[in-house]
Parts: sequence; structure tokens; C-alpha cells
Amino acid sequence: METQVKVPNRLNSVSLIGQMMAASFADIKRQAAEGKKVVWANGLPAFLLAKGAHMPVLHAEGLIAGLAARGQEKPLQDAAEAFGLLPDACSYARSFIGLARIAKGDFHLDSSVNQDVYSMPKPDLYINVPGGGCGTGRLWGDSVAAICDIPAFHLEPRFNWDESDLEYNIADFIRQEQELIALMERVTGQPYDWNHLKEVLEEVKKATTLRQEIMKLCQHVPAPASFFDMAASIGLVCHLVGMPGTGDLLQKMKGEVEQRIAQGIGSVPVERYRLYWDGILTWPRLGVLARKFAALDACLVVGPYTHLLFLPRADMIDPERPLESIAYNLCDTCSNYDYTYRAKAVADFCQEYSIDGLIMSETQTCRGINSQSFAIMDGVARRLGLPAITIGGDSCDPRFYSDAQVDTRLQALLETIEARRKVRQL
Amino acid sequence: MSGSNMKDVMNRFRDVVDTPYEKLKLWKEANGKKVVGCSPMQFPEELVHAAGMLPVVLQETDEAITTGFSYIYPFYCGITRNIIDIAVKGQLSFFDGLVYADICIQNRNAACTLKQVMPASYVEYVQLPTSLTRAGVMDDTIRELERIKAKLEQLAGRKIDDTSLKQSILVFNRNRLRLRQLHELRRANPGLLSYRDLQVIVKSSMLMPKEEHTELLEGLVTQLEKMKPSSLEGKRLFLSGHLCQSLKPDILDLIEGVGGIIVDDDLYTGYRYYAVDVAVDGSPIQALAKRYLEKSLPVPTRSYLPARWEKYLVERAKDSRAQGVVVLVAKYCEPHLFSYPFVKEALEIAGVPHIMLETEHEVVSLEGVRTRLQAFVEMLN
Ligand code: SF4
Ligand code: SF4
Repeated sequence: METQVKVPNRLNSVSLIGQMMAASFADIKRQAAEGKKVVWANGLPAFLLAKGAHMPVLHAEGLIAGLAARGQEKPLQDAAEAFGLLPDACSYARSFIGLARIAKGDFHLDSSVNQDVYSMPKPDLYINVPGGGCGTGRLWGDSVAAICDIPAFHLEPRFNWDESDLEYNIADFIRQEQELIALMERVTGQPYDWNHLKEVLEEVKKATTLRQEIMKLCQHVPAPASFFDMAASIGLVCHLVGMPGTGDLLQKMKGEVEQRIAQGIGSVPVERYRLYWDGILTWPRLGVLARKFAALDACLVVGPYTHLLFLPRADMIDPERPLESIAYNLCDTCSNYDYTYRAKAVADFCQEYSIDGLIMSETQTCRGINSQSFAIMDGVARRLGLPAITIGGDSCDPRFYSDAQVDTRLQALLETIEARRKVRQL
Repeated sequence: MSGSNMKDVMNRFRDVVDTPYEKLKLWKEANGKKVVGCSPMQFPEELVHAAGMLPVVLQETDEAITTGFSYIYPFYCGITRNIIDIAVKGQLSFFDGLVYADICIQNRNAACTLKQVMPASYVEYVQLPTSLTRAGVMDDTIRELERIKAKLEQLAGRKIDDTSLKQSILVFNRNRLRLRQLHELRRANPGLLSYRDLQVIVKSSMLMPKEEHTELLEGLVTQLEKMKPSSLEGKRLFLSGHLCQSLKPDILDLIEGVGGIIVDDDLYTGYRYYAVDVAVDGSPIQALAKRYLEKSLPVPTRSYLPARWEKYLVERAKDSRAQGVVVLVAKYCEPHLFSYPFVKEALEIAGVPHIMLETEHEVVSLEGVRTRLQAFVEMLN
């Protein structure tokens, strides 16, 4: 008997995102060659404020995740390690610091390496917008700034320790945004273009709203798109945030998703298990993981990284009030609250998306994104009784990933889900 | 103070340091006062003191991490994992409050996890500005200090007025002054006191009522001033790093065992803790803010590009006529991991040899470390 090879059904529109990303990197190089001042940034898309200063932005994770997914991350990490940065440090940051050293001319790549991939224009300004208030972004930004001898601005939402802190924290964030705008005016020598920012926000509103709608459509069984598709779409609201065409591409994606629902097509050939993923994907093992899940009839449906982190409050975006819109999307989001809030949000998710089990990915060099994993597991288990596993991995350093470990633990999770189903049938 | 008295004082300090939480529990029972644990580095303990409570700096213990692994990943720094572990085991429940400050993501996560594992306890989180070139940082710092002051007043059940806060600042300044005197005495004559003992003295200051510690310390300093130092042969070393956790004594033994003499440091459980005082004129809250913003030593947990740590370290190392620098990185400590390349570069440019060693909470074989240290010390001029 011939065994069916089950491969993931990737959305066609997702490949267009890759093309758009590649074009944007070429565009940053072109703009820099024309004398535009360039921003390097990391973290969440509040750096879109640079658009009003007409400064092209090279977003760290946007570039590095793509390189890692194509297995091209190592030369950057080598450049950072040669500088003295140890492998325990955030691998996104390490890779970007490696890029800074290359841009500065302090590290020369081996001639066998495709130089073009790693040659980016030197930054004139660094903007750090940490995800979930991770202070590592500050260290990372200061490192690039010190290497390239440029200013760094840390646009950092204060943490909502108590829910009553929110109002102050939003006001504080708006003050920071204003300060950044003044700094960009000094760097470019030009007045800030508020009208352009408004136009950008209009595109952002369209894109984020569509993205939220697509994610909601994935509550459908079988899920028409997976966590992998939604992870790719982060590029449209992060590195490419506010770019003309991002909304249209998401519209196309939504059309494809709706068509799949109408035809009963899922993102994996057979969907027997619907899973939640906590943490960043191990980008260098993206393909391996996608195939693995499809082969096991499991669909990764939802996770905070794709669904709650990058401008999740489309409803709060008002182009007439750009600073407030951005502030709400940074301050009043799940990752800026502690475990009680997060565990509740995840439990709600699990119900809305009919989740059978949780995978907590230990993003080994990131202490920001997976900080409350155990509390979430505990909270969700208590509320819904869902089984959970942890698996090793990392955002950009494949050395922390072990296929054998993932296989064993995944198997155990699926068996537990089966056992629970049997018990429920009794 | 006689020689035997000195021994008694050191034994008293050692006793506190060896089993800090047991001793604090006993102290609390005997004195009936509230005890508040402060996360290391940036929390102004004076505020707790002014509220009539005992502030102590949370310390890492030697205990193996077990239950804590169900609450925190193994790739977090030692002090974070250890504190969570002992909290889960109930060892911190006697504290009336725990106050954490925003120094890094691991510390933040520790605060959140403590809230989770000790739901009945008072856990507060302080967010002093970390980007020191931002506009309005003084106002922001004062606002945050006022906010936490109000929280501490609630916990203590009494007001913190300016007079009591100034009084507390004086108490802390006096302790810092004596610690600086001790540091300088030892810097001039390392044979007076082993570095291991200096560590014990500093750590005990973090764990005892300051008044009692200062009194004992004053006697010790007076005695040491009169003593003739035993002469020491060896290479002069500057100890740098460990931003917030104390050192395990075995690493100090190793350094001294291979012929190194530690003459100076910038450790948190060292010079960093007592380097600068708080002003006593004007508003005390403003003075605390000024100490935080303008006076404390450069540290990578705060962003201030004009005054980076590596520049400061090179100056200090040269100033102390150190022949080499031992950089101690607590494993997984990201603020240190990201600064190390710059420290390395600056020391190399300045022609100051250095060795970098990673330290772990878990007991590891020290043989490899000994060999590297030995080679390092031998090659120093
Ligand atoms: S550690 Fe994680 S959250 Fe922090 S900067 Fe790196 S990737 Fe972002
Ligand atoms: S400063 Fe370093 S050692 Fe201290 S809590 Fe943060 S990561 Fe851990």
C-alpha cells in the first residue's frame, strides 16, 4: 500500500510576502545610496514613527528571521562571536550585532559567502522597541549604537504591574514618542511629516484589521491557515508596516482563507489535533517543523507570538491620533501584563480556537518571550485541563534545537490528547 | 578591639552570611519588626528603613535548584532561579514584603513569578528610568520613588516623612563611609584582610540592621588601621563583573591560590554597593533620585551611552595599579554578556590583560578554571 506523504498546505499568498520583504531590503539600500538617513530597529512596530521622518527602517527580526529560515544566519553569529558575544545571549541580537560589525567594516566575511545578503547600509539612528518590555532590546540597541557611533532611542513601554498603571504608562509612552520625533528631526534636519504618518496609519489600520480577521477565520475547523502562515504575515505589520500594498496582500490572503473554508480545505491535509504554540519559532527549522506537524495530522493554530504581539489592537488604531494609537498597541497588550492576565488570554484563545494541547517552546536565548510559560501552562491546565509540553528551541540559533527531543515530546502530547478523548467518550 | 574581638566580629558577620534567611527569621521573631527583601542593585533601601522596617538585599544561597524548575527555565541566571526555587519551598514566606526593581528581563520575570508562587505575599515592582538620556528622567524618578514610598507606607502602616528619611540616609551613608574606608585600607595594603573576608563584610551589611553593622564595622576599621599588614607576594588583580549576585568563595580561593592578589573591584557585593552616598541637604527623595541618576557607577542595566562601563573599568583598573583584570560573568546574565565584548575591546586597547570566567549557580568542576587562571596569572608582568 502506498503511504500518503502529508505536506503542509501553505497559503499561496505567503510566498508574496517573501518577495515583498526582499524588495524592501533592496529599497533600503537604494534609499541609503540616495543619501537618506537610515534607521535600524528591533522589536515591535512602533518604529513606524520613522516613516513620518521619511527614514527607511531595517527591522532586525524581519531580516534575521528570513535569513535564519533560509539557513543563512551563521555568518552573522560568527561575526558577533568573534567580537566576544557568547552564545547564551539573544540570538536575534547576536545576529544583528554581527550585521552591524559587517556594516561598519570591523568584520570581513569569508569570500565563499554571498556578500550581498549581509551588506546593509550603516544606520544613522537606532530605535529599540522591546517586545514584552524585554530589557535585552536596550542592550542590543546600545551595542549597535556603540559599534556604529550613532544615537540609540529606547521606546520602552512601562510594564503594567497593576492594571491601574495603564493610564500613566500610556501617557509616558506618548511622551517618549514625542521625544523620538524630535530626535529624528535633529537627525534628518527636516520637520516631521505628520500628514505622511497619517497616511501610513491608514494603511496600518487596514492591514492590522485584515490580519485580525484572518486569524479569527482560523477558528474554523479545519483551520484554513496555520501558525506558520500567520508567523510569515508578521512581516506585513512589522518590517513592512504601513507600506503601500501590505493591506492588499492581506486582502488576498483573506480571500484565499475564505475560499479554503468554503471548500473545506485545511492548512494540513488531515487535521486531527489543534495545537497552541508559545514562544518564537525556531526559524532555522521552520520547514522541518511545518512538515513534522503536517505528517502527524497536527495543526499549529494559534499563539501569542503571532496573534497578540504585533499591533494586536487594530480597533485602537485611529490615523487622526497616531501617537495614542501606537501607545495603546504597545502598552495595553497581553505581553505587557503579568501571568494572571496572560494565562486568562491564553485560556480564552484555547477555547475560541478549539485547542487540544499546548506546546511551550523554550526559546533558549530569549528570556522575554517565554517568561511566564510555566504560569500559563498552570493557569490553562487549571481552567481547561489541557495537556502541555515544553520543547527546546531558539529563535535563530539551531544549536539549541533537537529533532529527537521534539519528536518524543510531541508524541507524548498527542498520546495524552488521545487518552483524554477516550475518557470523554466513555 | 583586640585580635580575638576581631575574630568575634568576623564570626558574627559570617554567621549572618552563611544562613541569611534563617538568621533573618530569628531576628524578626526577636525584634517584632517587619522585614522587606529588596532585589539587588537599584532599590533604595533607605525608603524601607525610613518606614521602620528592616531592608535586606536578597541573596543567592548554595541550595541545589529542584522544585523551582517547574516555575522557571534552566537558562535563567543563577540568582533568579535560586530565589524562585527557595520561594517555592517556602523559605521566603517570612518576609513581610519583597520589592523588585527593573534592571533586566530576568529580574522582571522573577518578580512576576514570585507574585505567582507567593500569592499571599506583598510583592512590588519599581520602574526607575533605564534610559538616562531621556528628557524628564529626574521627574520620572521622583514620581516612581514617591509611588513606591506610598506603597511602603501602606505596608508599614506609618508615614515616611522627610525627617525620618533623612535620618535613614544618614544611617546608610555612615555604613557606606566605613565600608569605603575599609576598602581603601585594603586597597593600600591587601595583606590586612583577605578579599574573602571583605566579601563577607559587604554581604553582611546587606543582611543586617545597618546600625548594628556599622558599629561592629567601626571597631574593625579602627583595629585594622592600627595593624601592620602581613606582606603579600603575588600579582595585583582587579575583579570585575557580577552585576547583582554575590560570588561563591571557591572562585576567590582559586584566584588567591594561583598567586593573585585582589586589590580592587567593581562588584555589586563590593565597591559598587558603597561607592556613593546620598546627599543630606534638600529634599531626600530628590537626593535619592540624584544618586540613582547622576552618581551611581556606570552599569549596563541602564542605558547611558556617554558613560559606558568599559571606560570606567579601564580607569579604575589603572588607578588601582592592577596588573590584570578578572572578569566574572554570571552565566546567562545578559546585561553582562552584551557588555563583555566592549569591556574586552577597551581593556585590550588600554593594554590591560584580562581573563573572562563564567560562574554558575550549580557546582562545577573548577579544575579547568584553575588551569586557565594559573596560566593567566603567570603571564602577567
Ligand atoms: S531576548 Fe527575546 S524578547 Fe528580548 S530582545 Fe531578544 S528576542 Fe526580543
Ligand atoms: S543583572 Fe544579570 S545576574 Fe542580575 S538578575 Fe539580571 S541577568 Fe540575573
